Order: sequence, then structure tokens, then C-alpha cells
Amino acid sequence: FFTQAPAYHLILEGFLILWIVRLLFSKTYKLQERSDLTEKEKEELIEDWQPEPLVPLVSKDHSAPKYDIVSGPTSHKIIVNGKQCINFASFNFLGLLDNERVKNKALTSLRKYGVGTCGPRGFYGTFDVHLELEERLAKFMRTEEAIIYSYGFATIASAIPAYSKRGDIVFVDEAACFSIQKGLQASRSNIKYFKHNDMDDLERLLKELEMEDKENPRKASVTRRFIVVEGLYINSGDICPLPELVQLKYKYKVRILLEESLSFGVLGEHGRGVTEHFGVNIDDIDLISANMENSLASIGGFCCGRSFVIDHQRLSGQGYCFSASLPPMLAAAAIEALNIMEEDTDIFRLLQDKCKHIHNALHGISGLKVVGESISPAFHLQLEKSTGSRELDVKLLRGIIDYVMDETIPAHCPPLLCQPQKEFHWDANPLLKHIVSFRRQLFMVLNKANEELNVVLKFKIEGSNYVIFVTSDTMKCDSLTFLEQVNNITIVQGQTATLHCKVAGNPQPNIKWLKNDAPVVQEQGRISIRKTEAGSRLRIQDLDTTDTGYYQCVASNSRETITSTGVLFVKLGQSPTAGSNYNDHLSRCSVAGPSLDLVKCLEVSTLQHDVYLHKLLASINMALLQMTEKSGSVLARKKFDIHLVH
Amino acid sequence: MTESSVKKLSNGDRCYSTNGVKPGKNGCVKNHYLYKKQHCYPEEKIYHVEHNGGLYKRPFNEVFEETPMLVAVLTYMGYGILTIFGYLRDFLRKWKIEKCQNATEREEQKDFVPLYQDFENFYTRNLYMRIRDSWNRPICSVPGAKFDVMDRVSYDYNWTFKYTGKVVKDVINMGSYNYLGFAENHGLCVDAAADVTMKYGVGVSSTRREMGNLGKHEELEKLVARFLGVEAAMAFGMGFATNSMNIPALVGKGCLILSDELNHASLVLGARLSGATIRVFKHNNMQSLEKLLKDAIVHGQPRTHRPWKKILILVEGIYSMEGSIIRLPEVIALKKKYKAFLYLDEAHSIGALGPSGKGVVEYFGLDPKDVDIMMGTFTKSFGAAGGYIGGKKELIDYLFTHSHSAVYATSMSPPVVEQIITSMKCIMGEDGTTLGQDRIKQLAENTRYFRRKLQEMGFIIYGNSDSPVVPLMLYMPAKIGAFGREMLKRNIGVVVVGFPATPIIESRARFCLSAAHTKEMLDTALRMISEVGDLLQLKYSRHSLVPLLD
Repeated sequence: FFTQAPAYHLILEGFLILWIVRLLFSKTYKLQERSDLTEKEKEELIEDWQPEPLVPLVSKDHSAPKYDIVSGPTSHKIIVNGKQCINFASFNFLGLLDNERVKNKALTSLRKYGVGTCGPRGFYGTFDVHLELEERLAKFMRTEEAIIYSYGFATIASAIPAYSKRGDIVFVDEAACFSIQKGLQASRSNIKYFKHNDMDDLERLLKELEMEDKENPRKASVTRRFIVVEGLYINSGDICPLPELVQLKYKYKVRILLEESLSFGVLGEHGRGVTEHFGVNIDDIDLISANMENSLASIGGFCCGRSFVIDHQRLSGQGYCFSASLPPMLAAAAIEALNIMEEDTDIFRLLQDKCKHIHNALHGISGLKVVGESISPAFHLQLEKSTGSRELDVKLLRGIIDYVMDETIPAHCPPLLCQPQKEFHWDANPLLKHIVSFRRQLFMVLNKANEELNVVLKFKIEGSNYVIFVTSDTMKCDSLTFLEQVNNITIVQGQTATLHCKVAGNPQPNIKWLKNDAPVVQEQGRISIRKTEAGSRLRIQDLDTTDTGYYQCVASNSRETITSTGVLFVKLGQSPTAGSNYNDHLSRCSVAGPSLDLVKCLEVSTLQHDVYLHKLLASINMALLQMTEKSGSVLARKKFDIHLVH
Repeated sequence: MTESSVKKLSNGDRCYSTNGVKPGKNGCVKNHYLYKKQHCYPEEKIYHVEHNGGLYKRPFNEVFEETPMLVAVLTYMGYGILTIFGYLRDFLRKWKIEKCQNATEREEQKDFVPLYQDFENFYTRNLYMRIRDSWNRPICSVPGAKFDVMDRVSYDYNWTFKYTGKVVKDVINMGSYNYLGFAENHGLCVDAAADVTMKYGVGVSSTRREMGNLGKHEELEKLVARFLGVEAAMAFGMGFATNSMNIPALVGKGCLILSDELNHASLVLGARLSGATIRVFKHNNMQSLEKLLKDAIVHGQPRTHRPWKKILILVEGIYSMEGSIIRLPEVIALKKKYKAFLYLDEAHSIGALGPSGKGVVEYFGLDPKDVDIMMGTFTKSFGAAGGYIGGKKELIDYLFTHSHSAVYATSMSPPVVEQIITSMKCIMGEDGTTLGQDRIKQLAENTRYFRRKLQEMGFIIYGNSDSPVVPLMLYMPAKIGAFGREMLKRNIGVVVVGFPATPIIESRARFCLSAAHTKEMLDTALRMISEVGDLLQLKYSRHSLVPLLD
């Protein structure tokens, strides 16, 4: 065979065989030649590397944030930056912070135990006071067991990761507070957000999970599930719909972890929180966590529930095991605060009444809306309509505050009032970005009103920091009196409204009409003012929604001036669409109006109170308007149809 | 009970020397410093200043004696037997032969996914429960040099406790972190705190950002800054949260955290929450740290190979379970060379180390400016509660705006703040007395004396000779409970620790010295420890220490 083949053929095949052999034995070549860096190159790399600065550099002119300095205790009256103010900014709902009994109890404890505990609970940091407080809290909440933490923030943030681990599923309300979010982050569980207080959305997610479970039952049998909600949301002032949640719990077999920092000591007849508020069996909630820094006015937090659940934290709650325990004097103060809460259950009702009062009083400010449940002691005022950009919103809100601040800083400012805090509290949650805290707004409203009325308002504060009574001792009703106050009207667009007021007095008063503090300008064929027998009548035909506002009748003679305010609310559409609750009030109070009707229902309010409240509300409108003009915002006039006086 | 989250290297990885004494669990910075020799004879009085190119200005004796082989084998056997019996008893419980004492799930929720997996509780049920009485002992007096322990009994093998109402009086306290003895119920600090309580009440009910920024807080922060020798400082209401909430404010994704393997749980949690990549170096081992630093910079981020944004080294001043002191001069040299940032947690070292109590930085005679983030707590030496962070002004300004704690957490209780201010002034000598200075000296003396005596008795003691945290090795699980109980019988309160706070075989007892301890108390304690040590055969040490003549 070989002899028959041509030579060239043999040579070629020989080459091919050699080539194959070479391929077989050659190293597999790499796309990227690997070569280790030499020491020198490494040195160079290390030399070259420049880290980012530890904290971002700020330019020199950008001044460091300065917190307001409070000197003295943070009780009802508070000295901020050297000025005495009324405190609407702390969570001391029950006013137990400067309670003498609490202080004395703390002092006794201090004299016995000193301040610090010098150890975690496991290592001689457990004091008899801690055991007593745990027992008392469990008894108060009517649960089997309670566990205390030395820091409110760390309570729920430690409790969540103690149960929910990697791979578990947590359903959480998107308005959940920051410490919940930190707890979830630490748990590294699978987190599913549902829309704020939207049970349908939650059920949708639960159904989705149920479907998944059917596909993978083995995984489902070891995946723990939890719903994390707040009793009263600090980010919105809403109450969670607990009864529905409990239903969902049993339907889908999910455990509920409830954070009650804001609702503990606030909701319910005995202050036991949202479970008592709804009459839900507390055993249906797997874990309740709350801090002792709000209502109890001490420091720290606690979790309570069944021993089966709670006991686990004694070895697994990081903030419990690894942190020094709560100073005994703070625990003793909390015990005394609990004593007071148990003895005097009226304080909860009182607080709730006041919350309702102020909530109603703040309703109906055009441009701003009050967010949250009316019995929430902390609520937010929100811009009704965003300008579209966050910066502009911030500017607008900040401007309102600044405006009022500028007006009230001068020396004639009554000593009780002072500037509101400059800082806004912006929450991380994007939903709530237009919220400005109620307390600062209130400062502003009060300040403005105070200046315009040019009388000294006395603020009487009872029980809670969050609620005020407005009274006056300079108000005289000797000669000029209203025989008939300005009526409130709720009416549909396009119709005609007539506002009356009747005044008696000597000498004959001169009557003027103001709308939202600006004089009412007569319009041919639409707006007319006519003098009547004992007063005046304002008629507005062909009503538009922009006519909505506070109409004030100012009666003045050489001796004095009195005012009466009514509300005209012009609705779109045909029939009144108010809820049943609203109608209730209408029938009971026999006055119509978007908001102030409720004020009249309150037993505490007298005529004068109403006048002041109207005035307060009117002045905020004014501030808003002037602000929009200044900032050149697009909100401008359409929204607040107010004429400028000055 | 757990005190530090631990993933410790197994014993075999350690540096052994010929005579069976482990030198410090670390090496040295390879290329820079002339640290050639491993010192294995602590009794030789080795001063690093002699050998280490001037890096250490004072002697650095750190000893971790090797676990004797027999002890290690017996310890593992002990755990083996416990586990077998655990399974046996679980079996009996399942068939209802033994009464199950566990709290159980509600009937209504039996068909829910179990809240705990069974094996999670195996350890608790079968091992921890046997010696549960050694922890959480309630006390009913000030945690000073002596305290009163509430007597309790258990009729169901530690599942529940009953308080008899009796009180064991005057137990010598070797467990609390009361280093400078400021846990007192009389004296300057308490009087000041009492005044503040009456003026301010105990709470604040608001956050720093809102209406909770008291003048007292600002005063405290200025004082802390002055005490530490840094530009500015910020105080927080809880030491644990100081770490876990501020590390996330400083580093994030794309950053690297180099963490000591024995770092406290709060540092670990903070690092995890930050979202940064975490790499762990061996405890106090500078070679391990340098290697990680070098690799990190050379190779950049995993997969993308982008350079790291920043590198943060997390270390503690004194490690609370080992009693070791951080090799700070070497860490600082490394940090400077590799341009990393240093986060130093001085929870146990502030007040307890250094000629004037300013912590580990002063102890080594270093400049506080070289540490980027100085963190510490007020719980221990100051006898109060809370934590602080000190550093450059930019850092603190940044934290004021970005720290979660300032925005969302309630600010510190005024009487607690007052206690810190007064005790800190006392340490600084600003109260016009030498009381603080005396206490610091007393603590240092107590530490040396106590450590030396224990070593002479033949116990295996871990840690640095200057560290007031003194771990005494017990090893076997059965001895954990026995030691705790026997000591309490002799009126001495000690802390005993086992797995998972320590590696499984390295169970230990821990003594924390205090300036409040008198020599008599220490002598009593030492006598008792020796007695119990003989009883339980704890004197494992195989190298002899010649008692000093003094």
C-alpha cells in the first residue's frame, strides 16, 4: 500500500499526523494569558488607589446642621433657643414626663441602684426592678409575658429578626416606620410591601403566595410568614384595620407582629392600644412591641405576647442579649407611670377628646389637609396638591413657616409664643413627602392669629401636649353683640348663597364683610352687600367653588370691633356627598359647613372660641397665599381665591 | 450566654511554640517593622519596645495558652454525651414519657408554619437548660464591688424559677463592667443625677432632630470630644445601636469592611446592615489584616474588578471575651499605608486603659487623630448607658444629618447624661480631686495583681496582662455550671460563658476587675477561685510561673 501511494501523499499525511499529535499534546491555550502581578506592580496599584473620603465633602459655606437647643425639661412649656414656647413637638402624650410621682419614684430608685447597670441582662444586669416592670407590663397588656429592651428603637428592630430569618416572608405596610424597616433589613427575609392600610392589596399578595405554596408545598411548610403593621402609623396618623388583619391571619395562616409605639397608652379605654380600641383578643396578635418613650415618658421599649413567642427573644433578641440593660431608675419611672395609667383611666378619654377637637379645628384649611385618624395624638398637615416638584413643595412649606416666623419674631410677640422649628421632618417614605408636621404648623397658625387679633391669647394645656384650648380674657361683649352669628352654608355650585349677620349695639356699628381676611369686593350682578334692619346681608349668586371660604362680618363702632365668621362651602356636583358620620354631626349641630360645625358640637367651645378658631384658620389661608406669591409658584390664585389687603 | 458573635478559627490554626505556650494570636506587619521574634515566655518580661522598632511604647504581653490535648478530647466527649442524652430525652418527650416543659403553640395556631425549627431549640432545651441558673441572676442592689443577689430555686430543672424572697447579701461582684467603680448609689455623680431627675424628669419623648436636643446633650458632646482629644463627638442612647445604626451611615455598597473575627454582635450587625462587602480577619492578626488589605486594593471588587470606594477596618479596643488588646500601632500603620479608614470600638477600653483613662489610643501613646472613628460606650467605665462617636468635625456633622439615631430615636435620658458628665469630669480631674486618677491607678494595679495571682495558681488565663477583662478557661461544659454555682456558694458572682459566645471547646469564666475592688476582696475572691479550681480541677496550665517575691 505504501509503495503505491505517491510520495507527496505520504509526506502530507505524515505532516498531518504530526500536527494532530502536536495538537493533542499541546497545552490548551487560554483566551486570556494569566500572569500574576509582580510585587512592584502591586505596590503601584496600592500607591494609585485613592479612596473616597469617609464622609462626603461639604463646601465651606454650607453650614453644618444645627439642632435647636432646648434648655430645661421638655415638658409643656419648653425653652427653645432661649425662647419660651409651648411644646407641640414631643410625644409626651399623657404628660407623665414631669409628673412628680414619677420623678420621686425614679429618685428613690436612683438612690438605691445608682444609674447604670454595668452589664447585659445575662451577666448581672437583671435587677429586681426589671422583673417587676416586665410583670407589670404583661399584666397591664393582659398577656402572658413581656420583655424589656433598653432602647425604644431597638425593640422592634431586634424582635423581627429574632423570628423572621432568611427565606421567610414578611408582609409589611408600606408606611411602616423606620425601626420596622431596619428590623426587616436585619432579618434578611423576603419582604413584600402592601399598600398603606389596603387589605385588598394584602389579600392579593397572600393569594399569590398561596398559589406559590401549592406549587412547592415542601418549601411552604418551612417558610414562616408574618404581617408587620403599626397600630397607629407615625408616618400617617392612621390606625391599622386590625379586625380585618386578624381575619386574614387565620385565613392564610400568617402571624401578626404589631408595633404600638404610638398607640400604646393612647388608644382604647384603658390605653392598651389598638387591640383594645377594636376589641380584638390580644392573644390573636402574636407579638406586640411598643416603646416606653412616648406615653410612659421613660426610655426603652418592650415586647409582649405569649411566653411561647416572647421567651425566644431572651436568647435571640440581639438588642436584648448584647446590650446593657435598662437603667433601673428608668424602669422604676415606667412602673410608676403604669400605676398612674391604671389608676386614672380618664386620661385616655381626655386625650382622645382633645385630639378630636384639634383635628376638627384644623380641617378645612384650603391648600392644606389634615392626614390621619381624628383620635391620633400626632398627625400631619399635608399639601393638598403637590406643585409637582419636591423642591418647590419644600420651598412652599418652608416659606409658610418662614412667613409666619418673620411676622411673629418682633418684640411685641407675646412671650408665650415663639418661632416654630425651622427643620421639617421629612420621612423616607416617598408617599408622604408632602407632609409637614402638625405641631409646627400649629405654631404658625397660632402665631399668625395672635398677631392679627392683636389680643393676648392664653393657652391652657391639659393632659397632652398635643391639644390646646384657646381662651381669652380680653374679649368683651358689653355693648356690641351679635344677635345672629354669621351662618355656615354648604351649597352646590351655581346656586345662590346668602350670609346674614345681626348686630345690636350703641353707637350704631359699621359693618364690613371680609372673605378670608380680605374685604369682599362687590361684583355687578353676582356679589352684593346690603344693609338690613339690624345688620348686613351678603349675597353671592352663581356660586363657584372658588367662593369657598371664611366670611367674616366685622362690626365696629368708635368703641370696639367685633367679628363673626361663617363658612361658605361650595361643592361640585349635585348632592352633599358627606359620609354618615358627617351627616350625624350636621343633624346634631344644625349648622352646615365643611369643618367648623364639629367645633360647635364640642362642649368646651363657646362663641368666642369659635371666633378664634375661625380666625386661626383664616390666617393660615392668608399665609399660604402670600407665600405662593412670593415663591412665584404655579399654585397662585386659583387655589386660594383671596384678595390681598395690604 | 452570648457576648460576642464568634466564628473563631479552630484551635489548630494557631501559632504554636515549642514549650506549649501560645504567643499572641498574631504576627506582625511583615515588611515594615522589625518584629522578628515570637515571644513565648511571658514571664521573661518582654517589652516590645525593645524588639519592635519603637512601635510599641510599652510592654505588650498577650498570652493564649494552648488547650491541653487531653482536655480538648474530654471536652468534645462531654458535648458528645450531652448530645446523645439530648436526643434520648427528645425521644422520651415525643412519646410523652418525659413531661415536656416547653411553652407550646396555641391550639388555634397549631396548623401554622412552626415559629421555630426543632433543631434551633435543641441546644437550648438540652444543654442550656441544664445550667440556665448561671445566667440572668437578678440582683437587687447597686452593681458595685459587692452586690446582693436574689435567691431563686427551681423545682423543674431550671424551666421556671421561684424567688424565695431571700437575698444573698454582699456577694463580691466579679461580673459587672464597672471598671472605674462609678456604679454607685451615693456620691457626686448620683447627687448630680438626682438634681437633674427632679428638674427634667427621666425621659425626653422626642428625638434629637426635633425637640429632644437638650443643652445637656450638647454639653456632654463637647466634654466627650475634649476627653477623647478629637474635634467633635456625638452621643447616642444605646451603645449597641451606636454601632449598628452608624456604620450604615458611613459605608455602603461598593465599600469593603474588614472586621475582626471576634467583633461584638453590634459591629457585625452594623456591617451587615450597611450593605458593604464584609471580610473577616483573624483575631488581632496583623498579617491576616494586611493580606486582606493588599488583596482588596490589588483585585478590587469581586467580579467587576472596580476599585473599592472605601475600606473600613472594624476593631475593638479590648475584646470582651478574650481580654486581648488590639494591636493598635500596627493597625494604624497598616491603615495609613493602605489608606483605609479605622473604626475603633472602645466599649471596654475607654476609661479602663491608659494612664488617664482615655482608652487604648492613650495606652499606646498614639494620636487620636489617627483613628478616623472613635466609638465607645458609657455603660461600662462611666456607670451609665449609651454610646458615643468621636472624630473630625466633618464626620460628626455628617452623622448629625445622616445618623438614623438622631432622626428616629429618642434622645438620651437627662439623669443618665448627667451621670456621664460628672463621672467623666471626675476622671479628667476637673472636679478638683484626684479621685478619678486614683481609680484608674487602682484598676491597673488590681488588674496586674489579679492576673498574676491567677497565673501563679496554674489557671489558664487569656488576654493581655493589662486588660481588666480576665477570662479563665474552663473548657468542659459541665464545669460551666459547676463553676458558677460553686462560686456563688462562696459569695462570689462570676460570669461563665460557653458556646455559642465562645468556640465550642473554649468555655470560660470571666472576671471583670474594678477600681472599687479592694485588695481584701480580691484576695478573698482569689482564695475561693483557687478552692473551686482545685475542686473542679481547673488548673490546667502547664507552664510554671515563679511567684514574684514582692
